[in-house]
Amino acid sequence: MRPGVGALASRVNRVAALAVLGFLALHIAETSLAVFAPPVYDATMRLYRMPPFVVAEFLLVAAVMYHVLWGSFVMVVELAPRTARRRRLVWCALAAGYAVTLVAVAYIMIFPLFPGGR
Amino acid sequence: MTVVASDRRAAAEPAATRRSPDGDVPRRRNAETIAWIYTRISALAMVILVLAHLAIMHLTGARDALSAAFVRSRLAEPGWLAFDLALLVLALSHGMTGLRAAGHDHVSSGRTRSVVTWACAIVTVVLAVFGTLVLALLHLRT
Repeated sequence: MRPGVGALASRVNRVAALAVLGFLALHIAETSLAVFAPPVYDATMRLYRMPPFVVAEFLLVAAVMYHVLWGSFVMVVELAPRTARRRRLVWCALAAGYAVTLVAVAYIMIFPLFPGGR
Repeated sequence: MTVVASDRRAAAEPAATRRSPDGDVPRRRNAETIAWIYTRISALAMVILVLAHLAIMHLTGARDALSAAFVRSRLAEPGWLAFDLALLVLALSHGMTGLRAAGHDHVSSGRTRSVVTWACAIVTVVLAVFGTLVLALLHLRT
């Protein structure tokens, strides 16, 4: 039996949440370098300005925003169960808002990587 | 005085169980309910902090100026220290509570679930203590 859209979206949410949690643990370790090894921290921050890491940062922001949107949808349904009757409409609206926001974030974070970017 | 069956059932109910006002649905407050509620409360509490942190660090010029000296100068201010401490504790506890719930979805054995719960709790405490120590040291070493 093929999983429905809701089940797939829920699994994507779990993957995004795990990724963000894993990043949080790494972030704590990396920030500790500012205390215990400042030159290594500065070198790490220079490394993060390279394109592959900027793309990874963009994916992190995308994962956080997806998790926030999905969690908001879950709480709205828990508080107002009738929303579940129109969940496809709500999903479409959330997906549209998510796509617009991602494009805006990509314009700010990714476009400057290209020659002639903003 | 006649004791009816409903009185015996009410007397047998554990203290943690309360009936809803209409008496039909039993209310239970246990660890799962508390974790469920905490996940929602922590999410609402930190959504503004998280979005502000992402906007400031990734969408402004702060990314390009990021260095150990910059971080120390920012954390010298009590407001930023409080912001980062709140974000650290809320994000860790929210994430680990969710990880525990996700782990329980894939594990059926009570003993393994207990291991998952304890592992999440220990990792949360260790990372929270370590993170708080790092922030405190950055605040003090200006």
